[in-house]
Amino acid sequence: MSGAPWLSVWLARRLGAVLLVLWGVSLVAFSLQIICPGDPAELILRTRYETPAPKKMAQLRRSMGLDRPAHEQYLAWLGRVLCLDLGRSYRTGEPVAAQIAARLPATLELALASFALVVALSTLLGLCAVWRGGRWLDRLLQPISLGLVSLPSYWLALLLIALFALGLGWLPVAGFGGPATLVLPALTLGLGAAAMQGRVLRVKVLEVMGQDYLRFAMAKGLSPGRILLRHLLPNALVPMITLWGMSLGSLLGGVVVVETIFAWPGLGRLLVESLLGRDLPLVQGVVLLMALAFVLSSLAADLLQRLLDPRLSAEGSGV
Amino acid sequence: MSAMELSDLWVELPGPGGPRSLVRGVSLRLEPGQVLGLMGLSGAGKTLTACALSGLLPAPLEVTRGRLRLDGRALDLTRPQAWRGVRGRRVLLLFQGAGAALDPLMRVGAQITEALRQDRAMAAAQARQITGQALERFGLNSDAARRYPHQLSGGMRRRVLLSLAWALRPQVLIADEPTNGLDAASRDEMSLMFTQLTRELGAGLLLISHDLRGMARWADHLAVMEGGQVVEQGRAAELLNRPSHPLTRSLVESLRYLEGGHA
Amino acid sequence: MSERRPGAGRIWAGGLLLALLALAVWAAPLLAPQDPLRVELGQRLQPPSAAHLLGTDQLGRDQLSRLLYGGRVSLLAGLAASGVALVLGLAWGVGAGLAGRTGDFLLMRTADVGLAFPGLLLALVLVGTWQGGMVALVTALTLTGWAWWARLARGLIQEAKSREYVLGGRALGVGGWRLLGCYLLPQMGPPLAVAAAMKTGWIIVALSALGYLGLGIQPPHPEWGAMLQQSRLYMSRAPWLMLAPGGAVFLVVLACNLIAEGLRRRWQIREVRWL
Repeated sequence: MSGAPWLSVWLARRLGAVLLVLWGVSLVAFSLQIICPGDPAELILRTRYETPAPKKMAQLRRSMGLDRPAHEQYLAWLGRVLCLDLGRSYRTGEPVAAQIAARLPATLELALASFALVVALSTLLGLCAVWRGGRWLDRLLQPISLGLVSLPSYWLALLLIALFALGLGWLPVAGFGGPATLVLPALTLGLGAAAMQGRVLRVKVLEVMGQDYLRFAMAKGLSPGRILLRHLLPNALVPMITLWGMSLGSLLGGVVVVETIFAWPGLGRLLVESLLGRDLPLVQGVVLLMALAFVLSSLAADLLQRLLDPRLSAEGSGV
Repeated sequence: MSAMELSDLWVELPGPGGPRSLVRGVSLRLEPGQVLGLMGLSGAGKTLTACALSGLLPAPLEVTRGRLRLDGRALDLTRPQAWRGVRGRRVLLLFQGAGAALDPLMRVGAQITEALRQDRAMAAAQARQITGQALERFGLNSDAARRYPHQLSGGMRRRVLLSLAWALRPQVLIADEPTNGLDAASRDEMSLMFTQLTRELGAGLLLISHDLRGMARWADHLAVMEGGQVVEQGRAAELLNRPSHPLTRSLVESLRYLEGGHA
Repeated sequence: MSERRPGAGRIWAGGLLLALLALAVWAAPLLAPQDPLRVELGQRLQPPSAAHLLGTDQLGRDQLSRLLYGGRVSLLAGLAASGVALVLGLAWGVGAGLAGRTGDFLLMRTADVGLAFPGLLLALVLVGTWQGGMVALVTALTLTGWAWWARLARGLIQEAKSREYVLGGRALGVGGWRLLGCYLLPQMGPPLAVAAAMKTGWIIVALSALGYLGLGIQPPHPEWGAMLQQSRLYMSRAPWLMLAPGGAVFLVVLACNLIAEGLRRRWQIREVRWL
């Protein structure tokens, strides 16, 4: 009956699946090299403002291993990636890993701030439906949250800038540094996801409200506060954990647009810059990292949910 | 003095074409240590009466009239706040289907302890001790307190609910279909445990059930409901011997048939 | 009315909105007051007026005309990508649901790879490195969306397979295509319709996001996302420029979400979670 062995079996199977997925991700990242039109050697020489003379190009191709068959190139590349050597940027010649490491903190700051916003706001939105005085608020929030879900983040960003930065002058238009610059990007990134998950949570909360155990908690004479904190919230929030874990990952993906709009010096902007500058190793590095973060945060959320829900940690089945 | 006296309970469902009365002027009397069986077909208003008796009617339904006397104090049932301090402490409603009445994310011991502590501001250690005694009283070992509901069998979960009632010591216990979904032998055992609990606590038990045989065997008084009204009530023996209302008569007939079939 | 058929109001509102937008965009050659590519530097950044209902952009091009023509790309590419992804993903997921253990494993692990890229990351890098114009755009969005459909379809078919009347049908000897066509697929319809409405909105957002980042349709051809990106530079001088393109995307997505929400209420389907 004890949950621990089942849990480790489950975890081992999930880790196996994750490794398989990451291997697939590496294939996709590598194949960018193949679909990318043009010769990388020529690309490198051009971005360094050197004339792509045939002799120079042949030399470069050999030194990069580009003259070998694709599968050999892939294995060599994968070997390097596994040792955390992501190659050097075409444009600057700097190691990709170093550039990513330099940009990562800004992105993490933004993603975590929006994640906190998503969790807090979606919980509040979801709970409005059951708060007795909040019925009118709930009715009002339903169309508003549908609107927020439908707002494209880049337009939301522009509207927020127009209102709070240009119109009221409360917050800076763009830039990085200090809490004031964080507000608008975090709002842009988080509002839509918060509204979306608030809607899911609202359904969940109403579902729990209809359960016998909640009515029985009332019949036992517990205070409304205790029913909310010990019975309603745990039962409604535990199933949300998976969703939140996925949203942490997709916030990392969403930073691309938001960082570009707000001139936020993070991974997202690095990715767009590298794409526009055709800097393939950097693109591959960022893609690998983002996919890794997404997969791992989903896995962590699944694990957390299993630990918190005794019904799940006891069952062995269901990978 | 009676354990509980309910007079003139009306439950209505507000609607566009005026309110619809689902329970119409029900009056019931519970004696301490005795069992009042509430019978009737599905949809007669038995469950609604039970829910109204602890202020737990689902949302659009409301009590429009009704008074409850509990040891000398009168409660106006139309006011939801009248239930503060009464529900759970003096009146305890146990639901249909014991399986779903326990929170799946909480250990069952904690679910008893929290009710005790809420009620009486009891010290944690004392509440845990009472919980242990209560579980033991119904044949569950102390290990059961640390289990989650899904780790217990259906019968064990029902015993947990009985333990809860024992620990809380209410004056009025309302059990809605406590034997639903049990086989005949377990039904008798469960009914016996309920009756014993009632006698031991000196509480009045309002027992709602479709199980005619159990009712005939365990109830001291019987009330028959139809269309939201009590059509007949009285001492169980008299009512079963000389049923006057047609519904009661047909219930008694089917009971005879059942008993005959088993003999 | 809304009591008898829940969600009808939302479906109608969303459908009407979407139909109007599609009609306007389809009739762009008739409705547009000007050639969307005609540059008139003397008319730069004009506020809305009778001659230019939505004003002019930084090159003096008529904003309304650009909006109408730009919508053709967004709607057409969005619908195309959404449709292809749906068909591909559906076939994939149904195949996985009906295949044996090994087939299921292979198909779903492949789909998992597609799901490992958060948001529009995959579309972004594919479009960015490939640089193949419209075809690349639709292909990239399709490749981003299909895996989601595959997982949804597989989940639905697993659920459908365990329904009692399907088991009954199999016990009676119904099998193969007939089982799929008459027993399984009809059950999957409602959730798929809800998801399709939602996902189409999402794809149109993703499409303009790519345009905003400068990776979608290349200038001078109008596209809503690219128009927004240009308006960003003139936000204080010509704030009206950012309203129309963003509002257009918003309305399309809102219409899609309204339809999805209405259908969800109509069939009482729980919130589709995997976005």
